[in-house]
Amino acid sequence: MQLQLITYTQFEGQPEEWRIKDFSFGNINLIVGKNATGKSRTLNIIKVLGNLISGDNKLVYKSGDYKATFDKDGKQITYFLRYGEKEVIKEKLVIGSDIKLDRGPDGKGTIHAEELGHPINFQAPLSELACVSRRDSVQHPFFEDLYKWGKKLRCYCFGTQLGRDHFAVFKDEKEESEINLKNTDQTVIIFKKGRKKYANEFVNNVKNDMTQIGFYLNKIDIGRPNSITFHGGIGQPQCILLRESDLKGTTDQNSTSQGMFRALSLIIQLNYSLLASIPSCILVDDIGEGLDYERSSALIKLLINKAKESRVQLIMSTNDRFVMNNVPLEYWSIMQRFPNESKIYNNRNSKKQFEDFELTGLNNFDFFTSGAFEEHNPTK
Amino acid sequence: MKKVAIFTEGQTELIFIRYLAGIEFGWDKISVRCISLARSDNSLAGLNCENPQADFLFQIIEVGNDEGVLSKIKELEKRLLKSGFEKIFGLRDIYSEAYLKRVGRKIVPDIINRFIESTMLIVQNMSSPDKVKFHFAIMEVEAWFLGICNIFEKINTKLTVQYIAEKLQFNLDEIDPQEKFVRPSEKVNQIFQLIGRKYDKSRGDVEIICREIDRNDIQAILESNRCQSFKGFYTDITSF
Repeated sequence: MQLQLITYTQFEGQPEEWRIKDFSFGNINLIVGKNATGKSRTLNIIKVLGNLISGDNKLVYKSGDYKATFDKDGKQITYFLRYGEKEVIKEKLVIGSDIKLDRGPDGKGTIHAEELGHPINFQAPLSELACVSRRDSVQHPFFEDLYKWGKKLRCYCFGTQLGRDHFAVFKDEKEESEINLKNTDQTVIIFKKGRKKYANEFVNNVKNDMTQIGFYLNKIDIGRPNSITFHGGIGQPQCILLRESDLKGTTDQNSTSQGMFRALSLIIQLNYSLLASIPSCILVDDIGEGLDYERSSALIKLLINKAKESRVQLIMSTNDRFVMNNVPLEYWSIMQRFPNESKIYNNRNSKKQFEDFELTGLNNFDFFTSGAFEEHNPTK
Repeated sequence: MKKVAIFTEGQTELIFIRYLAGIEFGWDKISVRCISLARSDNSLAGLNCENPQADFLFQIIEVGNDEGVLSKIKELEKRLLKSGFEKIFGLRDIYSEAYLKRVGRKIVPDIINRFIESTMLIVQNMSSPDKVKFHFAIMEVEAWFLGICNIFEKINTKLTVQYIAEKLQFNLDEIDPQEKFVRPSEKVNQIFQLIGRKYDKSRGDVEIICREIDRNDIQAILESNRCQSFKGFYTDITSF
């Protein structure tokens, strides 16, 4: 299932109102825009939606109004969710033209019961989403797609540490625990689990991917950090250790460059996710941040290829010119800020401007700086 | 359709080249695509002339700063030639921050030549130097406007060469603006002020001048001893 279209409003009618309307997505997407145009915010609302409909997050938000349309093998699934002050005001699920769920502000509504073949009344607690609390693969199997999409959504903020400042203490080697793959700081744990579960396939994938983006590693391992000493009885913290091909010694994650570690962490987490279960959608905020031109270009190419091979929807954001120049315009969505609203321009809603610019021979980044994505307004 | 890409520092050069192309090649024979990399409002799209039947496409790009013209050409040279552009032109003023820093508000031919030579050296090291032509307006493109002596009279009948000479103590018929004025745009402004207007390089100001230029004006400046920098530019831009 793939996210096709999203419309979102928060704090409607209030000074803080912000909305995006009919933001359409393809398989590969790069959201570009100046600072504070809503790129990260857009990724965040997709992430929040995923976490809400998978039950991974409780409804703690003050205001939100979603209309999200998905494509599942050519079938359109539209999910509406409006909430305020931690309570659901409206929730509706439409598949094709069939209303499967329709719920109002009092928690009461109707839900289609598959075995009965008709809708039944129900009332859900105001703080809970019916698509989560009424999940039932026999009577309401249509919630499963939403659930899986949300559960398998991955979001990586490339501008953050991505676990560089997180070590791991393993108390009991035999103890097996589930990893929360939505927690992107667990690089050490994920690497350890990936190596144990998928052995060389996983480690080699990570090393090969790092080679592709210009980081040549002879060995990736887990062990005690060699640049920090820990005191106290918390057990021995472990971290990622790297042996770079042009260095004699071992570098621990604390001494690795920030850009390199972000790339490594993303690659470890992505490879694990791809081997463990195919993600529904991968969000990467500020892709390429902290990497040089060649490596950010190579990382983008790697991600796009991985997304294409595994048919995972990829939604990235950036305001980095190198990244922009390396991602074809067909994947672009440009965000522009207006009062209370962010507008989106892509080759689905501004086809002519996108096609015309390709004839100019200029760089993609020039498309962004020139404003050529906008329809000409003679009054300007 | 033959395609050329022309990079300019600002919109004054862009608008002038647009008119020059129309005058020399005929408006019905050209397509013009104007792009600004300096502003993000796509406002120059209003200057576009789309003509699918045209023989020539002039893609004129405002870069926004003097030094950026050469850098942008260097960055995009291969890509543009690969996209079917036959020639790439650059046009910028000599008058710039870098020039001022070196010599101040003076016309120093040696320094001007060094500016030109150092630029040409970079052009020569590009992958297809024969397809890249770089030109400087000395000191600014407004010197070329001043070189078309009677242009101001066309804008306002009061602004004859004689009237300007009386009021401002320079005779456009007798001087070479590229050798006389370090900041020609200031002189254009002084002339505009004689009729209660100002010239500040705004799009409207430049349009007022450029729309009055005709083929005879171009011919006159080419046959005169004025504005050698224009002659070089004209020769290249009309013979690609």
